[in-house]
Amino acid sequence: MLLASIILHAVQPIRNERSTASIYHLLQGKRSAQTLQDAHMYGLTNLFGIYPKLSRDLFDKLAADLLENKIQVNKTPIPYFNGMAYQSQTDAFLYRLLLLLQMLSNQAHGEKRYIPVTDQGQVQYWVKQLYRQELTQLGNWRSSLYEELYGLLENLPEEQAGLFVDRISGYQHIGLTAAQLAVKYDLQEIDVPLYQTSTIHYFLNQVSANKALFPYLGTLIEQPKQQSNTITSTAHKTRMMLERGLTLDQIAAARGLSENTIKDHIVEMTWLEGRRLASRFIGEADAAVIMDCAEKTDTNKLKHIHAALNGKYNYFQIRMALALRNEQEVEA
Amino acid sequence: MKTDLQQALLKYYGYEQFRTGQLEILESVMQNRHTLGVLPTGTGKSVCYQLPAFMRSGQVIVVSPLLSLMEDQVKQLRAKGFKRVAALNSFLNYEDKQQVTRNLASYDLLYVSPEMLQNDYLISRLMQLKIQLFVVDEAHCISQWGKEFRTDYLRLAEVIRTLGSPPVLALTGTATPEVQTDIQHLLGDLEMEKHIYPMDRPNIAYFVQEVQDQQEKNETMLALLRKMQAPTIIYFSSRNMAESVAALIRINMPDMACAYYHGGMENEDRILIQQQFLAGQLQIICCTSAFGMGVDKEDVRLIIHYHLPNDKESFIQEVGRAGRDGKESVSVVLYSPGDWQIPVHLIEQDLPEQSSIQQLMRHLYQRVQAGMTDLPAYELIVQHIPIGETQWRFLLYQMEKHDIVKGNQLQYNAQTWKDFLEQIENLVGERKKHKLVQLQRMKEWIYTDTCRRRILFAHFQRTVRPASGRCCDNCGDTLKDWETVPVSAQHDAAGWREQLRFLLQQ
Ligand SMILES: Nc1ncnc2c1ncn2[C@@H]1O[C@H](COP(=O)(O)OP(=O)(O)OP(=O)(O)O)[C@@H](O)[C@H]1O
Ligand SMILES: [Mg+2]
Ligand SMILES: [Zn+2]
Repeated sequence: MLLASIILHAVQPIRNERSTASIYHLLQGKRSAQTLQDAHMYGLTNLFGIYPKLSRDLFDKLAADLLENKIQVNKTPIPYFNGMAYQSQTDAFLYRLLLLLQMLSNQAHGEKRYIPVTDQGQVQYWVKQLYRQELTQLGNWRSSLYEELYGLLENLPEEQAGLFVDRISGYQHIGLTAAQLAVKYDLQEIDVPLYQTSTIHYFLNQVSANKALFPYLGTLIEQPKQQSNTITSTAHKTRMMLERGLTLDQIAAARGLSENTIKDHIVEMTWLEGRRLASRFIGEADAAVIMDCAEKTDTNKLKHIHAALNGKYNYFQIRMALALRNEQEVEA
Repeated sequence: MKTDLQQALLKYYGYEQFRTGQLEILESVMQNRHTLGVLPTGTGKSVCYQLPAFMRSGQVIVVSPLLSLMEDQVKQLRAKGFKRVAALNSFLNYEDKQQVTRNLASYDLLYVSPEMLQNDYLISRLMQLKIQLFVVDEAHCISQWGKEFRTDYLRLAEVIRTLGSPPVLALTGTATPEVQTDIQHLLGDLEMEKHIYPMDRPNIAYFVQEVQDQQEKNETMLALLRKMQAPTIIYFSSRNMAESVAALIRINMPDMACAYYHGGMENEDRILIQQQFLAGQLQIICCTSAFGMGVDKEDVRLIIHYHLPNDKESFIQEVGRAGRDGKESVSVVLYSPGDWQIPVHLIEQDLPEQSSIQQLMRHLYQRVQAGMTDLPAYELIVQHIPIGETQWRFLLYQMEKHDIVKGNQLQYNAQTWKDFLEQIENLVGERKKHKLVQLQRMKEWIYTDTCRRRILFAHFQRTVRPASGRCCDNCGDTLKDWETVPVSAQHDAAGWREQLRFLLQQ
């Protein structure tokens, strides 16, 4: 049993000096000076934060049973972990990958009706954005991700590779739950997340060490300043001021730019990021009217749309609606 | 109007014809009358409020207790190209909730959980809309005589009035005349046009089998599964049993994929299991009553009740998952004489004991004395008083009714508190009695020797239609000559290499 083996492994150096609770904090990834210090002092940095969802009750019971020799466990080899380096990125990378694979697999069959494997708004937003930017490249994404993943999984034990792939949801195929994986691979259910974390740590390690070899998986790694990569930094400044609640003319005045330049920024961000900011400037109903008109008159020319709608909307609103249209197409 | 509606049905869904009752309900709704619609489970109630949302301006608000169903419907509508739809419920994270709430006017169809309607800010936003229709789905939940009494539903009348009394459509699949009257009353004594359709399903055959003990029950169940070889749902009254029987089935029938499902699982896992079942990756689901409502899989052939449900409504709803494609399907109840204790026990668990009510009131009184008039959250309460969440919500509603709680504040008045304590005992007693009567009716159904179809629906409607295939064991039907049509279960014996290739189409 993996968790038991990990506890026994961690207990050795710590044993006489610290309580078993310190191991719980270590595995769970508690950001306290004490826990971090323990990790370094006892050479356990690799195990830091590898099990954020570990239940305290469960841990206490298992640790007690182990230390009082109430249960015997077969020592399981401990797979690769590097918690200190990757624990803060593990979840984001995993869910981006799972949702991206689900999207690509369904998209390959033109299937739009599927329930996303994660509810996390940020992850969904990230995948949506990628979809928008890479719309014409999705075929490449599929084949390249396939190759990159295949190569990485080949180097893992068969079982661990299977545990990872069986969890993926895609076209007409739904991934297995931890309980189901435990049955299929004859494991304890509590060990399943550990193997999955190990796999992700291994991916992160390989990908960041050989960026050139894994260009696609590399994009999934959370960049510290992800936003400024996609929008120009001057637009980024505008966004921050908008988010603080400043109005268009206030921003223009504060930055010494024209209001039109600020509007350009907003259109740019809307095009890249969708409705998030846009709702402040154009309602969905109005946007729908404009999009409809653009479609019917088969034009993107602002002047034509402006005229066709009898001047009801200004040019900025029309540009926003057209930028949003881009987002509508991927909403499903 | 009929042709308009028919055209719209074709345009938005691609269906040529209305099913029984849909047109009648729609016509009433389109004329802005308050409407009560009772249509059997799985026959298409959603169309009755979705079409008006597509066809007319103004918002349609749908109150639905089924969070997962709500999400599912929104996603399906979006996938069909209908984007102006959203759901507001506790699943949403704060940011998304804000996003939807701020832009209410940009949606035509809004699903809302009853809990969300307790939020004053949301109500104030809703008041600014032009609501064309206010829908109460699964309306039986409003009646305390209905099977799934929800206290939040009880405040709907007030909400409807606050929103300027828009036309109301109440929909349900199972409602006795008693419950129908109650729905009308609790929605504010609305004058409603009633469209009640028989809820019996001619394509479902009913069998009851007595066994002596659990071992015999398991053997009978396995034999049945082997014979039918079809998508099956097995209902249990306990989570543990659902899990352990699922394991038993896996061991005995490795070629029939089986999993369990219950309310104690993480939401993410629940969605996966439900999806696997819909996709045909799973053949058998062992579950509690948490699974079912809203699951729209057309070829479920067999419903087994490993444990008895508490009342006929639950039973009819659960069996209603079968045969949505109209093909012959089967319900089998397995029971052993000792089984009756479980539901009696469950009924008692659902209602608060007088002693815990007294404890609770004492605790609240002490808080008031100490100057803390804020209503404490359930999580706090439960640290002091052994009380379930359903019990707490039940009491909370009663306290609001008695002016003990007002807008999240406790209000002390010796007389009202005393009255409350006296009356609540009666109320709890009455409710318990009612539930036992329901259970008794279920029991009579098990032991009857006349046609089960007739007895099952006796309290709901005057006549039943004849069965389209087998009727029931008491009518002399058996499953001996059941023709098995094995569904080819897609089994993933393939290794990870092949599966990855398939997923990414390489
Ligand atoms: N007129 C029709 N013709 C063909 N199929 C229809 C028609 N109306 C609805 N359906 C289909 O019937 C199925 C069940 O519909 P729906 O989910 O609305 O049922 P329901 O009455 O709400 O069921 P439940 O009681 O489980 O909530 C859906 O797949 C729906 O698309
Ligand atoms: Mg429904
Ligand atoms: Zn019969």
